[in-house]
Amino acid sequence: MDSKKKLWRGFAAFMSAMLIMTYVSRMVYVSRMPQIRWMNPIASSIQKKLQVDGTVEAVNSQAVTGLDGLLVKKVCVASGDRMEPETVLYEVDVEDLMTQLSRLEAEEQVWQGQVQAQRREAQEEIVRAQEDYDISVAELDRKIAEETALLEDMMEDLDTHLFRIPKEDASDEIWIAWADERLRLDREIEAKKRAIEDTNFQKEKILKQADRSIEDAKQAQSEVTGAYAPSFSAIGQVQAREDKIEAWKQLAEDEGKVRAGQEGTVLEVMLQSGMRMGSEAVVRYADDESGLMFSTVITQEQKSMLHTGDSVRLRFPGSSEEVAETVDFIMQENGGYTVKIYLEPGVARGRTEGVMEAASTSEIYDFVVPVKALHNEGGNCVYVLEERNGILGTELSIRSLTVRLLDQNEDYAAIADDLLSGDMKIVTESDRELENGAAVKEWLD
Amino acid sequence: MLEIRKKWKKRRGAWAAAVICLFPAALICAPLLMIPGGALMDGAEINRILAPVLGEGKGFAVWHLIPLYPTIGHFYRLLIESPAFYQLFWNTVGMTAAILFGQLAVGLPSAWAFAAFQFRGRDFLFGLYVVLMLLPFQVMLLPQYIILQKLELYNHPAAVILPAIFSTFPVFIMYRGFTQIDAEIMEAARLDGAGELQIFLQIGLTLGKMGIQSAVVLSFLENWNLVEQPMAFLEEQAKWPLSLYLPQIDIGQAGFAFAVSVVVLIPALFVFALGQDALEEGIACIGVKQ
Repeated sequence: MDSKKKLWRGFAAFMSAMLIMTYVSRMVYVSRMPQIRWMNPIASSIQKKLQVDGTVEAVNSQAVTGLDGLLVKKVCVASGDRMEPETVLYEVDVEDLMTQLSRLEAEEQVWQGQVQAQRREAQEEIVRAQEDYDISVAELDRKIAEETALLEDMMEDLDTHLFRIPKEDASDEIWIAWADERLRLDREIEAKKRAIEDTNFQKEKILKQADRSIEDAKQAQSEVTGAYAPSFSAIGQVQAREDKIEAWKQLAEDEGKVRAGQEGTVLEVMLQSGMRMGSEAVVRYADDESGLMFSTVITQEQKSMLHTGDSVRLRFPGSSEEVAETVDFIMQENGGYTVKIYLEPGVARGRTEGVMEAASTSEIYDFVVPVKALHNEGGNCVYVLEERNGILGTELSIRSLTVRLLDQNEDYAAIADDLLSGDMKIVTESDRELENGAAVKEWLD
Repeated sequence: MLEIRKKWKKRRGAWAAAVICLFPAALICAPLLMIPGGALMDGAEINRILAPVLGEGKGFAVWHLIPLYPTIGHFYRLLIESPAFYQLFWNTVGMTAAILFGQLAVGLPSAWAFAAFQFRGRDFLFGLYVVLMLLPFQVMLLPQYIILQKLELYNHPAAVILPAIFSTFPVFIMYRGFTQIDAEIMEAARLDGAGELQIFLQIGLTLGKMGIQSAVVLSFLENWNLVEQPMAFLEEQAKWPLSLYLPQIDIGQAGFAFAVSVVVLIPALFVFALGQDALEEGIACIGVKQ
């Protein structure tokens, strides 16, 4: 009988344990269940707001070029600063400036000495060439005169010979001898004429060579003196050096202060104290005569929200200035779209950065849900909350529904599908990752 | 020495019978031996062992009575992480209890009436009970389904409980128990002025106790494991009994299924142990010719 009692007690204990474990397993099950919030899709339009940072640039920016080789002592302006004529942009190291100036002047003196020497050599060369010319002309004139005198003698000999023509009844030997003599004289005369011509030709040739020598000498002289410009670069260098010396002297007199030439807004300063400048631009600025423009780059996705002619608002960090402007043009470049907005005169003076805000409203879509409700499982989908009859009775569960994404902004998405309806409960939020078919519970606020 | 030989000759037959019965007994018990080992076996080990059975390996499946990598993971998952199991467990408890109480409420008076009273048509009626007892469930399925539909009880636990309450088998068992009561005792009680209800309550229930207990134990075991009736008449899983939980588990979770089997067996073992004596006596009564 005792054993029966023990069996009954054991059976009761087993059933009690099963009852307790029923609650425990339920609690474990529920504790692992995702909590969700849901909403019905609504018919609405999608408000899109575009906000991008950009820069304020001059339509035509000016540049202040560096003083090549000089050492920067102090930079006096920064991006966004206003500048007036005579505003000090930066200062150069005066001691270094004087050293550089001395070196430059020494170079100038050396160069001047070299030029003087070259001038002298050129002058001597011209004289020598002229002398050679004169000697050649005299020599050839004398030779031609001699040849001409000989030709005249031969002509007289020929006349004499013609006068001594044999009588008609003279013998054949006499006639033959006379004819041979005449033929010889004709040949000699012709040969002499050719000799004179050759000498004249040779004279012309020699004279041309002499002329060229004189010209070369004169040209060499001109290069040295700078009378005309066979090499602009050489003259340019000299001029540049002279100008540089002049400018540096003035700079030294002004204690190394480099001043603005006109009024405007500093856009970019590419200087640092202690750096030695090159000849490139060191300060970029927008003068007040040329306008400013706002420039930014937007993505392909953002491009759909903004079109040329759209009205946008511009804000400039650090100021309360806010203006409405119109997009002037959008240009595709470097994988993005550059947006340019020409600013009204007086807008964004002294600003280098800005924020562009644009808004657009889409058509009204039938089903709009929060973006958080949209999931990607190989395609866009939403989870639909449904009641499911299972072993545990009627439970809330979720079902994945593939949808087409029509439009979206940062907060909402417009979706479409044949199976969608306005009374569907779309899961908008959950405290853990969701899976298709998972049992869920509603969020208890 | 002679005595020992005589004893050996007497017991030789019994030993031979025991040895001959041992093999089929081992075969019958083998599945039962697999259950505790399988419940404690790692999933990978079970899959490896069952691979030839599942057509994923060659040769024969060799079962390990003692797991190589014992784990209580299946029990943890069942007892802590499976609320569905408890839902169906309590469904089964409720259904079985309702059926047993119903059977006692309906079957006890019926069995007593057959055993204690002589009335016209008694034999025919009892014969009808026996015929109904012999009819398989499949024969009764369609009529029961139509009646339950008409009564709008389909997909309701009563669809399983009510037909079971009016089962004739417990009546038959209890009737056989009541027939073992000596008629002279009841006659003496009547002579002493006891009413029929008093005789039923004080003599019938007391002396027919073993038959009643036997019927309860057999009915419990039958109804604890009901499969066909709930499968046919209960559509919602939430109303299913535990016997339909095991078929939901696929072969890839054999270890979990073994763990479920172990827990499902426990109540049945308790009931069997509690009613074992009555069960043996009740079955013996069935075999006694009137």
